[in-house]
Amino acid sequence: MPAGRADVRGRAPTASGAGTRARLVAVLLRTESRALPWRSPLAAALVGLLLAAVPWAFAPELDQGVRLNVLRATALCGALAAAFLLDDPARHTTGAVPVPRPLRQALRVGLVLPVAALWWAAALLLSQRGDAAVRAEGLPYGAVTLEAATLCALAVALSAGVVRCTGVCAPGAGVGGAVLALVVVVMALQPDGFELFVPLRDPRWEVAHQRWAVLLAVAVLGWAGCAPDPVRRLGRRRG
Amino acid sequence: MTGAGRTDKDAAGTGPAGTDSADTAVLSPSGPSDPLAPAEPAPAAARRATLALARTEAWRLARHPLVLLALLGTVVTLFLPGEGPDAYPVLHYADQDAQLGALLVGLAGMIATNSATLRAHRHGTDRQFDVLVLAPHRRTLARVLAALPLALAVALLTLAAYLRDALRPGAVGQGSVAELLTGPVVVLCLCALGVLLGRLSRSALLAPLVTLLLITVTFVFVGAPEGSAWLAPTVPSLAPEPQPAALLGRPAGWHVVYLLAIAVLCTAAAGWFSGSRGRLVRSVLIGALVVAGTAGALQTRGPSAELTADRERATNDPAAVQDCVRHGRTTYCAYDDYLPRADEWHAVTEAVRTLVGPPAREAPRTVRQRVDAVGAPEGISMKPADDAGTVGTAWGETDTELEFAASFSRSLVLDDDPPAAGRYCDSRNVLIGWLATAATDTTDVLPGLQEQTERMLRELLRQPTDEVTQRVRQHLTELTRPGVSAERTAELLGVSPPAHAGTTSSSAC
Repeated sequence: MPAGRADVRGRAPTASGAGTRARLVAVLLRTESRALPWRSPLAAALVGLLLAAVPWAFAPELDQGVRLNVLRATALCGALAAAFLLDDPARHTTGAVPVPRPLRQALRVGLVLPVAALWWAAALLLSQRGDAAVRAEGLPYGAVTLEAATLCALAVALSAGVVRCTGVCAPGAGVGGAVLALVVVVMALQPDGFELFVPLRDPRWEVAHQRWAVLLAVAVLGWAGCAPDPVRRLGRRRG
Repeated sequence: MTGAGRTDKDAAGTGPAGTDSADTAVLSPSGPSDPLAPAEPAPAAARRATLALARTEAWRLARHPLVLLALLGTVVTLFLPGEGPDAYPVLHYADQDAQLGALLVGLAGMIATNSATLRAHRHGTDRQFDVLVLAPHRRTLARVLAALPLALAVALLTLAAYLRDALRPGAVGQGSVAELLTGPVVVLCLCALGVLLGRLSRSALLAPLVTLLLITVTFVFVGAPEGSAWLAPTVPSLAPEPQPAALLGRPAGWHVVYLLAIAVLCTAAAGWFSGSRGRLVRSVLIGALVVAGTAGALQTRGPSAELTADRERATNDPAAVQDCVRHGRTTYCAYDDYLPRADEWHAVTEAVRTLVGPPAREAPRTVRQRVDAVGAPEGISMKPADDAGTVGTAWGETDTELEFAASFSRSLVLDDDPPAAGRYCDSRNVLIGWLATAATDTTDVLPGLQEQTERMLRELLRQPTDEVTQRVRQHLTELTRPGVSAERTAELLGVSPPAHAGTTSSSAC
């Protein structure tokens, strides 16, 4: 195994064939899956699922408005987990490898994405258990999923930003706190003309979700912008 | 070796003050048996070192970005003028105003103290701490003590906001010390929890996750502020209108005891997990657990049967519990906390009397305060009042003043009519609407009027008040008769007749 990795890395700068790229990805998938911090994000995901199951377990009569807010809390758990996605204690040793950082970060996200999708589907299902009358009211799954995806993308983009602009190896904790603070500030202020967390059947629902979509695009673009290694080092390096 | 300089600084603990005291700590004369183990400092020196570390940590805690943000948010929400009825605060509600901000400061403090507890681990300097003379449990204690200045800051903010409200001339009621203490104690409790979490797990995710859980529990799962809702850190009042203090039923005293016990419990548990397992820590743990359990059980009992009966009586038979005060020809009966507002009410009733003119203005009348203290479901309204005009517990907004002026006008000019539904659809509605707006010196009209009534009313309000007053006094008897048509009303009051004559000429709505 180590020999193979060294081989791939050694040849990467000069090789341009698709076969080599595929082999590189296959090897990196294994290493990135081992380097990913699985434990904390899994704990967060589990807590999110437990939250989503609370109406089912304790109060089946809770209406969709409350269930929506519970799902938002679950989505925030996911965002907290996503903030830790780019944590890499070995960052300074992998900084010198010829594999570009966007590829490594994309692999990490790609590895987690199917798990995250399954997790979110489970959360949606759990949140809809309980009273049949309440279930009949229905919940706009697409819109809620958009909110969750945006929150997670924001967390990843912020982490990528921290990685890009500082020498921090583990941006997760700080970014997690920042995402929480951001959400609390937006919820507390509900700034006129920029409401994001609108209740169900609110007339501003459509507009708010257009804002969510814009935010998602901004987050993805922000991540794309922050992923590449800077040509020159920004900020000071930390240890 | 770029990281070396930083590592040294962090290994030192936590800043210059902590290091100095820890380094100068006097070694105990007996000396340890193991020559390689760090010596226990003399108790006095250890105490000094703990306090020095606490001071340094307190300063770092106060500069944490999340704590600064939460403090800023608290100051902004408390001291920036909002749109609420700021001039007429009800003090047994104003004492809870700072609790939301305090909860946010506490949550930020929890993340910050947790991050401080994990700092050595984060920078890989745990091993250096092992050779320092300050024992781990003392460092744990110092981190909890570091939250005291933050709690003090929140206490000062709470007190300042409360005093500002209490010193307003329109303030009524009385705040409770327990409610005022809740904010700072929540900060202390959550910071201690942050330290405990840091001792339980080295995961940096735990504190943000617990923060999220606490926010969800407090704001999503907790409904009415009764029963098990009190297990949450703070319990916001959800009553749509202020209640009399005696009917609040908020076990704030037990809640403060509960929070304090949890703070002590977290501190002792954090000490336990940092290796201090002496008899003192064990007895503090057990004691705090017992107190927290007892206070927790006592605060979640829900309203007593007595309180429920009191609420029912105050809602449906207010005369039995209210005090009355007489100003001129009007008697004001209110729950005793709100009686000081009689002067404000009197200004409005006198204005209505002046507009109506003799002889109706001389009639003695009663104003009775009403409140829905049982939380009747929508659609079931309170039993109608006797012949009196009614006033709510809120004051200071145009709507509440208009409603009161309308209610008093109704009781003054329609004395032989039972105020059944409280709304009329003929000349009486126009008359009452005009009296209410003219007496309260506003340009708004009563909310929820019919379109036609509102049109007539607005036209009336554009005319000089003196002229309208003359016409009202002249035709008062006819205007107060049931079933006067809209055309006739327009004619009597001198406004243009309704466009669709005959459609709504009866008193039926």
